[in-house]
This record gives sequence, C-alpha cells and structure tokens, in this order.
Amino acid sequence: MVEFGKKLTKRDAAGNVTTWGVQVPSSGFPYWLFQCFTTENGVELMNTAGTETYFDKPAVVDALQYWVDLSRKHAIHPPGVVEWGTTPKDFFERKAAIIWTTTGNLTNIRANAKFDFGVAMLPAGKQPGSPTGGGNFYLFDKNTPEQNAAALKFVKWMTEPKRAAEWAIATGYVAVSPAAWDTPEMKKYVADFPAPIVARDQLKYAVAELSTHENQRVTKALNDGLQAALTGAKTPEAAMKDSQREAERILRSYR
Amino acid sequence: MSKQLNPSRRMNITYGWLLLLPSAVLLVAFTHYPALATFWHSAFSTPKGIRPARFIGFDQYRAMADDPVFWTALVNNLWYAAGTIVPAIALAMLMALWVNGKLAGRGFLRLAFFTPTVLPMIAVANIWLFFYTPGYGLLDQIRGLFGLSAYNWLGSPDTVLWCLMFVSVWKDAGFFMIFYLAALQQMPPELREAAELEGANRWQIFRRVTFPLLMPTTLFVFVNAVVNAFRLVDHIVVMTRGGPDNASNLLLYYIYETGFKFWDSGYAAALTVVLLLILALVALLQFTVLERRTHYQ
Repeated sequence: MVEFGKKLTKRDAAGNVTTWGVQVPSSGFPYWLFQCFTTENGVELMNTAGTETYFDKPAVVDALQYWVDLSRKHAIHPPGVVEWGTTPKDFFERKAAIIWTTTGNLTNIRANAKFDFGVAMLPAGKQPGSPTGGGNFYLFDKNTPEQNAAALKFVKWMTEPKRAAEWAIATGYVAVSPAAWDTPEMKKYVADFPAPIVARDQLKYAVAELSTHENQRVTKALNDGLQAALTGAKTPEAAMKDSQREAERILRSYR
Repeated sequence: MSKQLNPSRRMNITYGWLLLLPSAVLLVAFTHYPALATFWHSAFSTPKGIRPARFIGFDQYRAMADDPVFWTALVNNLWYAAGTIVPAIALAMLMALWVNGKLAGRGFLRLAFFTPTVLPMIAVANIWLFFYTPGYGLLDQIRGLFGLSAYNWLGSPDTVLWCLMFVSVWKDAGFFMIFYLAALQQMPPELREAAELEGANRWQIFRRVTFPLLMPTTLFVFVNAVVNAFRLVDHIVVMTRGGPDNASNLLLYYIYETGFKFWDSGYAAALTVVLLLILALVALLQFTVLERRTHYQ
C-alpha cells in the first residue's frame, strides 16, 4: 500500500499535496479502523470475555506505528486526525486516491464519483483482516411476552432477505444473510456492480469489533491514545501504554 | 409568662412566609436539594446490574485525582474561561459604545450584533463546523485563495480549543452588548457634558465617567460570562466530541460523558460536586471582591 500510495500522491509546484495517496479517517471513533491495522498485523485487541485488553502489545504498537508512519515517514497520508464526514467527498473530488471507509458509503460514492472506481479488500499484513461493524437487535427479558412477540416480528421483518437486499442496495452495507444475496434483486444488482461482493468475501477474515465491559469508556481510552499518536502528541508506544493503563483501571473490577 | 405576639403581627409573619413560599419551594426543589443529593450520591459506587450501590465515602474523589482526563478537562476549562470571558466583555462594550453613537444604519448594526445570540446553539455549531471543515470549509477556501494548503482546525490539538473559544466570544458578545447598550442609554447626558466642559478628551470621559458607571453592568455580565464558560456542552457535542485526545474536553462535557455515555452516575456526581464548588468559589469572589469596587447610582 505504501508503494502505491507514493505513486498516487500528487503535489503542486509549491510542494503542497493536491491528492493524498491514502486516507484513513480517525475522528470520533478511530478504534474501528485501527482494528483493521491490528487484525492485519495478526493481533486481537481484547479477550472474548471482554475483561482484558491488549493495547500495549508490541504488535498493536507496531500497527499504530504503521498508521502514523503513513503520514509522518512516507508523507502519503494527511497529517493529524482525518474527518470521517469529508473522507468520501475527498475521494470523489480526487483529493484522496485510496480511502478506507465503511461499506455504508458505497452507494454514496457510486452516485457521486464521476470516474471509474474499484473496491478492494483491505491490504494484508501478516494476514488479511478487518473488524465487523454494525448494530444489533436486543430483546429484554423484562418485557412482557406480547412486547417480545411484537419485537421479534419487527426483527424478522427487518432482516428478511428481500428487505436486507433492499437496504444493502440503497446504502452499500453488507446484506446480513446469505439468503439476501440469493434474492433476484441482489443478484441483478451485483451482476451490474460487483463491488459489494468484496466486503462480503472479506468477512471470512473478519474478527469481532472491540467490545468489553464498560465498552464506551474502554473505547474512549483507546480513541484518546490513537488520536494522541496521530496528532504527534505522544509516540505510539507511550500512547498505547497510557490507553492500556486506563483500560486496566476501568476493567479491574470485572476480573 | 410566655411572650405572646399580638395577632396582627403574627398574621404579618405568616403572610410574609406564605408570599415567600412559592420561590422558596422552587429554590429548594431545583437548587438546594439537587446539590445536596448530588453530594450524597457521590459517596456511593455506581450500581451495576449484578451489584447494587454501596457506600464508599470519598473514593470517587480519590479516583478523580488519578484520572488524567479530569485534569485535562479542568485545565482546558480554565484556559477556555480565560480566553472567552475578557474578550467577550471587551468586545461587547466596544460594540455597545459604537452602536450607541449617532450613525447611519445603527438599527441594522445592532441587529447584526445580536443575531448570533438568537440563533439556536446547535445550528450555530453546525454553521461553524462548516467554516472549520478542512479543505471545503469557508476558512480553508479563503486560505486556498492565498495558496495555503488545507488545515484541520478542529482535528488539531493546537487549534481546536481556540476555535471553540472564538465561537463563544462571537456568540456571547452580542448578548452582553444588549446589557451595555441599555446601561449606556440610561446614563444621564449631563455627566458627559460636564466632563466635556472641564476639557476632558474622549478617552478620559470613557475612563473616568462611562466605565465606572458601567461597573454594575460589568459585574452582572461577568457573572454570566463565567457561568457560560463552565456550562458549554452543545458546541462540543456537535463540533468535536471532546477530541482529538481530549484537547477540547471541558468539565461539563466530561460530566455528560461520564453520566450518560458511561452510565457511571457515582463518578459523574462527584465531578458535578467539583464543578459546583468551583462555581460557588468564583461567585463568592465576585460578590465580595468586585461588589465593593462597584458603584451603584
């Protein structure tokens, strides 16, 4: 990716960058795309029980160093914290040649990019990989049986293959069930525009999204560390040590 | 022999208390009780699904002393207060003096200065969010005209707090201007005329006549400005969410995050108590030190 990023980064006569080679957004919730880097580096951020985090493992620090180096060492990635909101626009305005973003932007980009573009799996380090994303439906055991029956009916309606396909076509999000991919609508859509298949096929390399006890707080500890490293306030190693110390403090009472 | 109040006096006292009752009830229900309850809650751990709240004394405060985010938010908030209060007041006074004079289109100017105040906070934050957007925002488009490259105003820890301060000054100055304008219009013209007869120049009139007479207004505006500096939360939610790396995290936003994103109500209560103490201390200083230097007509 670094090699292609260098080829794709374009500068004007004054040396200002007009097109960045690669752009990975980091505002708001940088932990999510960071998990792509760590998964590709063959390391997980937490245990399955959600009581331990591994933010200061050397492989995690290496993954962050790689992200920081894209701008600091190779100068192919914008410096500092990159906005999620403007990243797709940067792509179709040709200010960024390669972007990492949510599949939920696919339809937006397809509608607005006035050039031929492609979708690829995230580049493999030691292995290919990405975290999953998205939300869940929950039923609470304190509900009345009627409420739960109604909720279940709604969940079934939301996830039935035809609706899932409709949703995937309208947004770009990965259709949630194999059956949705077998609907005639979806088949017709991907025959014409095969990009969505990439994200579906990448799922076999995907790991669970970062999720622990006190999730919001632990995630914030990681986000703060990532932004500190990306803005140059701390070295990746110091930033991840601080994040891990904070996560330890929060999770101590759950072990 | 017991001392008996005569009936009409007793009647008067009852009557007085009854008149005070509505505001006393409101004050207790919405100010004193919540403050005490918050303090009481801060002495308990946050209840979790499997573990009810238990008494932990001052543990929350000990945890706070070890919490780097709290200290960052506190220091940020002090900078934010220092960077918004004085400029907003100075600007308000300047604008009021200007639109108080006889000049063409003064109604329009007053309206223009006051507009930021009537706009809803969230709308204002969104407008400024657009101004600051790297690459596409107004600021970067202007920079582009001079051949400067895009700058991530809200994404850089060096500029983000300044950007928020600028928005607050812009928004508050118009509101404070109204108070100064009202005070200026109340000021008897004889004082100014007398000073002119004595041969005072414009600066001397401002320094020796106008400014001292504006002190009661300044005190009021100052109290408001301090409160505003510690109660900002909407702009942060829309523009930065406290980031990057807490560079724009202020106390009230941290309380909001702790209470309603992390659901750690015990710790949020302790943070609230600290904020209350800071505000109480500031108010005390304002009303003791400044009050004495203020001249009421």
